Amino acid sequence: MPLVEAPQGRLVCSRAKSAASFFTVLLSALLSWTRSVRAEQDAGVPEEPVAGPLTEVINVRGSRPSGAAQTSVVDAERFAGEAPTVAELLATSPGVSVQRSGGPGQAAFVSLRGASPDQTLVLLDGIPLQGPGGDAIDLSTLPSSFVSKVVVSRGVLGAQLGAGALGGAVELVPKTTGASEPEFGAELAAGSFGSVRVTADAVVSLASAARSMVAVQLDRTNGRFQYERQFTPEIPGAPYYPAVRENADAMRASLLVRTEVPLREGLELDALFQGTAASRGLPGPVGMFTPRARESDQGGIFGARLRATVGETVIQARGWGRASLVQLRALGLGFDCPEGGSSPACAVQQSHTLGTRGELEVTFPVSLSHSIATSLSAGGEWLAGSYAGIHRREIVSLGISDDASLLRGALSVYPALRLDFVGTMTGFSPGLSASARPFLGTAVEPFEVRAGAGVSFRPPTFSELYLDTGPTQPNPDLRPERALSVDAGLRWKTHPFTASAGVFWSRYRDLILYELYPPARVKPYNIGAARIRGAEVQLSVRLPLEVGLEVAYSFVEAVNERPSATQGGRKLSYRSPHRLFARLDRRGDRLEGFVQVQLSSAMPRNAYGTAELPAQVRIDAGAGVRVAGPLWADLEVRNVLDDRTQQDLFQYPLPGASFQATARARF
Amino acid sequence: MNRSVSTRSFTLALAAFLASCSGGSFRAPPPLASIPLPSGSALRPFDPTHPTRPAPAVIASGPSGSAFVSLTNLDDNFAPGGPGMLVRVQPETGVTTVILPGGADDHACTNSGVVRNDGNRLLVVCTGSFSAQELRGRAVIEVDPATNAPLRMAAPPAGFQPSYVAGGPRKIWVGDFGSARLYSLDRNTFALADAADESHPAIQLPCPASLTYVADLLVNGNDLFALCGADEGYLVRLDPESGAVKGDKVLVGAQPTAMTVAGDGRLAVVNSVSGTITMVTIGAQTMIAEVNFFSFGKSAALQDVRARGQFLYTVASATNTVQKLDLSVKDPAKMLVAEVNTGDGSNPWNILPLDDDQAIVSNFIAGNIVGVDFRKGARP
Repeated sequence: MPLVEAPQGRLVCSRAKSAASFFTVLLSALLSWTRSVRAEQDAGVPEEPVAGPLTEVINVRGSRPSGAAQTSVVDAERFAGEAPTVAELLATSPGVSVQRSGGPGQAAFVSLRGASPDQTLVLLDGIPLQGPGGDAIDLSTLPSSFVSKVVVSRGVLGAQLGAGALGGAVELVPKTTGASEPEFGAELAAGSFGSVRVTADAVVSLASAARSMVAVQLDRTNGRFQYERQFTPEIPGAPYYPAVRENADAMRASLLVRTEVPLREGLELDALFQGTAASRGLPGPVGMFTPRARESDQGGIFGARLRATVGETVIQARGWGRASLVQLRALGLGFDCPEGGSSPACAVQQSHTLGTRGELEVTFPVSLSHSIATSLSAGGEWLAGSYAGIHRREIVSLGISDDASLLRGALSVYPALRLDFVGTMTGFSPGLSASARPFLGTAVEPFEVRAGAGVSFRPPTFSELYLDTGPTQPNPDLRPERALSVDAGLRWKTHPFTASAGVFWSRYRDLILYELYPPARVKPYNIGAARIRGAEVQLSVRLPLEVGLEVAYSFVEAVNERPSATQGGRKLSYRSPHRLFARLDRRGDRLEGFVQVQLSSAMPRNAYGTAELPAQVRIDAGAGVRVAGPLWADLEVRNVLDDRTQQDLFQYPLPGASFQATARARF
Repeated sequence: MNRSVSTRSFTLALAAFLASCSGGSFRAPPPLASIPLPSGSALRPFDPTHPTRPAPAVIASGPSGSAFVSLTNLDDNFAPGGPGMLVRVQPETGVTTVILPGGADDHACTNSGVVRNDGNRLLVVCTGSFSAQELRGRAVIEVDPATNAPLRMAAPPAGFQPSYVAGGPRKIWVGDFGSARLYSLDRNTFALADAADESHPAIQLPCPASLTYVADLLVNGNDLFALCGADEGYLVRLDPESGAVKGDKVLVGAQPTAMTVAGDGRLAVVNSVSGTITMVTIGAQTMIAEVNFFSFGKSAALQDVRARGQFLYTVASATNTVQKLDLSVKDPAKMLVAEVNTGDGSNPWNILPLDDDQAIVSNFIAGNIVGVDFRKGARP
């Protein structure tokens, strides 16, 4: 009987993430046998002007503070005219690794500090997002034009943000209704591979001082890019042959509506709705193409928040819900389904997910320099899937955090504690962080020291617990993954020059790994362990002539601590030890332009140190001019070196050089 | 791969004889580029609404240059969807003959994933379904390669699901897919020997992993070798008469899938998920493993290894390729002398070298047999 090898090493945990990525990863494995960081831009975070740095290192404080978490803020406005994806915005931050599955419109996932995507929370306006089965969210489903800022908080932040934030959290801050005057914007971008993007947004005033923002984004691409492949990859220097990517088309429509209503003095209501619908081909990895496989998804998020200020006390009540439907068609387990195939394995696979939550949060001062925040949230999540069955679990969380300023403001400490009940699982997440500015009142006042530590857990996803399909065996007895992290860093922030550097050390236990379940299936077990340490450096310099320089560097050393004679002590797969992002740009009144470089060093391709993914370099460049009034025209070239041999982690080819022309206006 | 000593000796002798007759290296008749296998109704699906695939797996050599290929006959969920089959193939003509090892009862043998040449007989392993509710179809069947007729059949002991088989002098050894245990059949009577009853217990392999199974078996001389398939894969040497473990086990790699005796007497083991070849030197009392003797750099997912003189032939299902390695080359960077792609989506599973440069390959997903010539270009 032929064997099905366990899917190896997406990351710490080789588990299914979204249905799409799961199956595509599974194909290769099979045949050869995976909350508001509330880093919401709160009152404590100063808004950077448009000409400000690309990313900013901040201490995020909100109603559920992240304390002195090491955080970077990416200002989406700095990329105007470039039409970046959410994944591309994230890739500009240190500590971030984006795992793409091929070209435009295809799945992308984020990993922080070497953790797996499942160990990273992604939130939209404070609402946690999830893929089918509770797995990591596919970033390609999130329209970037709706986002004003992306806040990346790194570290084990379960105490501040809730279960699941083992590597950290990414908060997508949607565009606000903040402008006092009506505002309209539109953008049309077209480029290689038949890619077209249309976006439009409007901020309007309604009755009773209410203001609303409406935004739409339409994307499509035929995905037919040229690439080069080897037929005999083990032969050193084997020739490359030209090929064209097929069945990689994608189309998505998204809508965002946000309304803010000041009810009366000290009482505000805001509501948000985001809906999206899409269809795309699932082309499969090189050599295992699936020319008929398709995925469609529809989903929506609705949230409403009531915020009351009584004296110095802030009370927030919030409710939200999210729902999604994902359908996979003609996606056989390791083979291409024939046209109109009657095989049950090629039938439509559906996954419905639903999540709801109610939250109450009270922040009150103890003294002028000391405040306490308490929170209670309760809700549930449901899954109904073709191969997972129908399941639900309740979620209840209790949290308390402290924000104390000592030594005349020179030292701030942020202890936090959270108790999460997820189904039958209970997790306790303590955290402590502190920041100090020891040189207040001196010439080196901008110098700041910060440190933090946290312990938290990630409950198993519905997929890990119940997904029973093809070669995947569920394991309802899984326990939560656990993690401990300590970090420390320095920061210097002045107007023309901002720099930060930090180090971290993390330890993961009870990691959920898919193992061969003899003879032909894989099953998840709590058998993994790892330690990850690293360093992050970020630099931002404003130069004359409105030129800016940004550099983000990450070092990660991820070591497998699983007690295994073959894996123990080896590097975890798919983690690039060195990542560098550098960008030089100019944002002027009439001319703008940029050039940026992304570099990732070679990384292990399996858990045994016997295969390697080579280093990759990508250079992008673009320029724009204000043609008339508010109308800008931009031209961008990606992968300037036209390297057509690059592949993502799972042997999906990546496009060579491509261009995009954009016309945009805001008035 | 796992051929018995007698067969190997016979093959080598025959090759040498033919080589001497031709005055140079033996050249087999060129195999056809592609040999189709039964499909559709010819696979006798249990349920006509659940079509099956031939899903050819292991190839064993047969008489007169023929080969026998086991067809697992699985549905699209990789569950048995029809009777297990064996196909006799003549590589140079493409003539195929379908054999039903289970005879008239289509459920007597399912998921026939392994066939081994056992001298003048073939041994077919019917693994059956992996569903705990379906215990039919599990068996070891002896087939006469001369007449293509099934001769004898033996069901496994309770709690066993046969994985691999190797014929010893007096016992036929069978591995379990659910554990690191062996049972045996008496070669003369085809009745259960080890694991027959409490007084004749199964042989427990000393493999520490909790999730392990028997990934291959091989009889070589006075030794029975067993591969423990696990993330920590071990090679164990046993006495082919008693099943007693001889010496210490050795670590070979992650998820070993196949082994063979190389021309220099060492054992070559391929490890699927670590993508490596481990060479094991067999001493009188000890085994010395050279782990990661050769590494494939592209997540190769190795499924098979065969030997012919100084050459090793490997199958990498993830990259749809087969390779030829020259063990006489000392520089690992130059050891891989040829590679051939078997086609997108083919998922090659087993290889049978016909001479030093030609071979046939079973493609598990493509559902065919292809002929490859390592002297020709890389593309199929």
